[in-house]
Amino acid sequence: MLYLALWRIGLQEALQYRAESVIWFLFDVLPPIMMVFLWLTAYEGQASVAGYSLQAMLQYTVGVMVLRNVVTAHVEWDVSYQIRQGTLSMHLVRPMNTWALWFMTGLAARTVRALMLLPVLLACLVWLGSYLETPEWGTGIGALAASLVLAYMISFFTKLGIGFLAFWLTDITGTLTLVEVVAWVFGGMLLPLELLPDVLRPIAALLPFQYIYHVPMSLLLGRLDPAEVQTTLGVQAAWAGGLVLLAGAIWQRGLRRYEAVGG
Amino acid sequence: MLDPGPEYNPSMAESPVIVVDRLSKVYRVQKKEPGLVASIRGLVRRAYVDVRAVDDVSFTIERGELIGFLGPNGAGKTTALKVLAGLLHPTSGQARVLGHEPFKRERVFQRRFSLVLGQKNQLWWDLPAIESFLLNKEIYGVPEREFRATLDELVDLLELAPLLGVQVRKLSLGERMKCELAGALLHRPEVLFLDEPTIGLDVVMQQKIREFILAYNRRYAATILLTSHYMDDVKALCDRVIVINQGRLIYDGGLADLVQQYADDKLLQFELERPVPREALAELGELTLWEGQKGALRVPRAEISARAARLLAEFPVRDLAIQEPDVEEVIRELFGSSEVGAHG
Repeated sequence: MLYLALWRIGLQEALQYRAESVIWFLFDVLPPIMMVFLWLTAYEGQASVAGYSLQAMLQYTVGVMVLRNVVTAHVEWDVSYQIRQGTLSMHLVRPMNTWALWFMTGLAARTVRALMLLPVLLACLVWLGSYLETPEWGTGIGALAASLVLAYMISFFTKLGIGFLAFWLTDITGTLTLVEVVAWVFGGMLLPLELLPDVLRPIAALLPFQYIYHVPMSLLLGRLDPAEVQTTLGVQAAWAGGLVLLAGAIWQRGLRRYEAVGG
Repeated sequence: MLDPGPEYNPSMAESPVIVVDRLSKVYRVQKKEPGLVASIRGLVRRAYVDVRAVDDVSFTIERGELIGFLGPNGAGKTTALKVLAGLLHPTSGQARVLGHEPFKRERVFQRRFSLVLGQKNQLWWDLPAIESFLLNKEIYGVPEREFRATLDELVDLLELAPLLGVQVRKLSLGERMKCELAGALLHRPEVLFLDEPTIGLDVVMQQKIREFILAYNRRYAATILLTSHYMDDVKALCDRVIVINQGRLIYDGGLADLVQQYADDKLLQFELERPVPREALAELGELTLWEGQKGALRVPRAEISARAARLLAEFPVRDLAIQEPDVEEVIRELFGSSEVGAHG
């Protein structure tokens, strides 16, 4: 019941910021749509770009638009704000797991985004219908679902840990924006990572972001054979688990510091 | 009559609700010397200084007491409150509230108390207060019927009916404070920590909040610890005050006794038939107030009768009263401030 109440209040909160919500929504929706126009033109001269047919590239672009909206956590803003303002104290004195509050309100925000995305997605399906033939669902739907859940966990716990940096950094917004940029470049949030220069691809492998976007997309597009699917899910799970532990460690240290400066 | 609440255990009635024993909270603060050379030196070797925010403080509070924590800014009042609420752990010494060590933050303990920090909100800013109340109901596990009953009472006592559906950010400061208080009491805590509850409020609202706190204390025998800058809060609510200065407890007892004990002077308030030169009165004592025909003289306690007699003999007195000095003044002097307050 508590979790439901937290989700409910998260929904209401997310619905309050209408103007802001729309701006962030456009931020996650317009670039992919622009890319669709670009690809439709770019593919006029050739059949393949970086190993992707036009069909595959459009599937990637529309798919990653969905992921940007539905799987990306933005919890670091609330968390860092509450730490800097000291309102965290009001959570700590109540008989409630603060992580539960952040997790459920985060899910609620994703729910609202998913609802906002629905009409746009339907419009894309109508517009690009022939290109967006359903990929091989049969073999992949369970794996895909698992991949998406893990992707969300990775996104959430990465952002949570980064939000906890507010325990030490006074001006956190610069850092948070930097993280967004890094996620953009190395996550495959707009372009498949095959388009990233070879020099940079190893860096992408060391960061969690590709496991939120590029990897689930590869799975959806059927670009991984069954063995690769297994290992990929395993790697995602390892990242998710590791990030939970890392976030937990930063939280413990952060709380000590929060307390040391007077709470 | 009194409804004790779900966690009340009669065998606890005998033991004190709050026990603080030689509590100290020390912060390690980096010492920053001014100047470039010092800054460079600071990169290599850091100097620290210990700030004793709470220094060897001991007191005991029984169930149902309404205690005022007094002290200047930075005295350690809020720090002490935070230790009792479990936000900070003691550096040394012990603190126990309702038999628990606050810092362990046991769920069982957290359900039995409430903390209201005057300047930090618990309520969700963009939503109507009632939504935050409903969330608190789930957080504290308050059964539906009990929640409705308590809410109705609080709405009644605090006149919240028109406010419940309004977004918290649209409420005035006073209205917000009332809602914060209500939100903190939905689970009928046995112990309530209030930090500056009337700060920033207008006089009328301060009075209303005070009346509410008193009513709540009387009705539920809740133990209430209150810190305030406003002496009127303390005067109106607290029989017992704990005075903290620079982390040390310098007084623990009745407010009236505090004045008696520490005020070396008394006040001679008078009204004259006709104006009189100021200098003439100055002989009798220190003039703290002078409005042509009305005034007040500060006189050493031991001499009060003699000076009063002289005043009556030498001047055309219409009215005369002997008063204890203002509590604010006593406190100020206790803290070593050299200010002499002018009344009016």
